[in-house]
Amino acid sequence: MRSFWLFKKPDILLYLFWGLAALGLFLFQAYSLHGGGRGTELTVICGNETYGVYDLSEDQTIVLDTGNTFEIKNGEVRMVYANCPDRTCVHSGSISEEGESIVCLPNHVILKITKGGIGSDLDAISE
Amino acid sequence: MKKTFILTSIILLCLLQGCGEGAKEASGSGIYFDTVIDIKVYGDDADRMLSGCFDICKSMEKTLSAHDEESELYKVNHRSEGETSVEISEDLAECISEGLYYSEVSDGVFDITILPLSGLWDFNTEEPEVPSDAEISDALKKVDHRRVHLNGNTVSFDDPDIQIDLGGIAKGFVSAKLKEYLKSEGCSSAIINLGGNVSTVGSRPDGSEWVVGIQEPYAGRGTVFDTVKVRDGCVVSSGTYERYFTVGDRRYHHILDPKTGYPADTGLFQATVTGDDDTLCDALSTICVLLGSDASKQLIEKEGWDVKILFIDTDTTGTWYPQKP
Repeated sequence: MRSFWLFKKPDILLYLFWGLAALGLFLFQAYSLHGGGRGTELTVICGNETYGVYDLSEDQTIVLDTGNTFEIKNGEVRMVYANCPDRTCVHSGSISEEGESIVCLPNHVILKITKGGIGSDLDAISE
Repeated sequence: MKKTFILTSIILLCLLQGCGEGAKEASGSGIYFDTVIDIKVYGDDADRMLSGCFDICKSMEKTLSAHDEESELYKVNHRSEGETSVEISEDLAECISEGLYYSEVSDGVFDITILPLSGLWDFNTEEPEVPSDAEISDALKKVDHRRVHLNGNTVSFDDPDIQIDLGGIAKGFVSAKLKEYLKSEGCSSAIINLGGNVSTVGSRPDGSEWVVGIQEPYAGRGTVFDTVKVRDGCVVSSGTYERYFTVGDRRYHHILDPKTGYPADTGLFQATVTGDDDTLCDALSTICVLLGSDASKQLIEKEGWDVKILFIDTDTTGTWYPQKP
C-alpha cells in the first residue's frame, strides 16, 4: 500500500534528527571559528611561550619581566619601554589590525594581534 | 526501513565529517635564529603538525646557529687549536654542503666563512660604529670558503681561524625542512614565514593561490611594492634596508661583500626571488644584491635555475627577470 507521506513517518523523524545534528555542528564551528564573538585580541609571547592574551577594548599598561613594558590604549598596542640595546620595538609604533606585530628580538618578546580589526588581503609579506 | 536507516546514517555521517574538514587551522609565532617565525597550518591534525614544526625550529637552532653558545655550529667554530677536523650531524653537514655549493658557484661573493668579518659589524646597537680598515683587512684574511672541506659528515679546516656562518642560507634550509615534514604528514595547506622568507605548502585551504606582498625598501613596514601569487613556492627578499646604520651621509647595511669587507654597492636596494627551492631562493636573494642585476642574470642563465626575480634598484624602480610569475 502506498503511503500518503513521501517517506514513512519514522523516516521523517530520522531526517529531522540528522538535520538538527548537522545544523548544531555547523553553528558550533561557525561560533568557534570566529572567536565566539569576542573582541580584538592581543597575544603576548615571551621566550617562545604564550605569556597571555589581552582584550584590546580594555586600556592597560603591562610590565613584563623580560624588561619590556607595553600599553593598550584606545584599541592600539605599543611598546613603551624596553631595556634592550637597539629598542627597535619601542620605535616601531602602534598596531591594531589582525596579523600585525611588534617584536623585541633581544628579549624574545612578540606582541601580535591575533583576532579582530580589518586584517589584510595578503597571506604574508616577504621582507 | 532498516536499510533506509543504515543508508541515511552513512550519507549524513559523511556529510558531517565533511563539515569538519578544511576548517581546522593552527597558527603560532616564536623567535628562533634571531628572527620571528610565523607558521599557519591547515588540516585535520593542524595542532600536532604545528608543534612538530616548532620542534624542528628548536632543534635546527641548536644545530645551525653561529651565535648560540650551545649550538653544534658554535662548538665547531670554537674547536680547539689542534683540531683540524670535526665529526658533525647529518643536518649540519647537509647545510654546510649547500653553503659551500653556493660559495663556489658565486665565486666567493657569497661566502659561508664570513663570520670573522660579520662579527666586526654590529647593526643591533643604538650607537653603531664602522670598523677600522685595519680591522677589516685583518678579518678578510680569515674569510675563504676554499679552506673548508666536507667529506661525508666530517668537516675539516685548513686554518684554525676559519669560522662558518650559515646565516645566508639557514632560513631557506629550515623552511625546506619544515615543508618536507609537513608534506610527509600529508599537509596540503600551510604558510611559513621565517623573518620575511615566505614559503608555502600547497594552496590556501580554499584551493586558491597564496598571495604574498613584497616589502618596499626604505618604506614603512608593511608598505607593499608588488604582490605575487604562489602555490607550493617561496618568496624571499634580501635588501640593504633590513639592517643598517648611517654615519654622516653614508649608509652602512648588513649585506657585506667578502671581497672588500664593506657593504655591497651594486646599485640595488633589494632582490626578491621566487621559486620552488627554498635554499636556492634564500642564497640567491643575497647573491643578487652582492652581484648586481646584470651579473646575477648571467649566473642564473649559466646555472639554469628556475626562478623569477624582482630587482629593485636604488631609484626604487623594480624590474622582473625573466618575467613576473
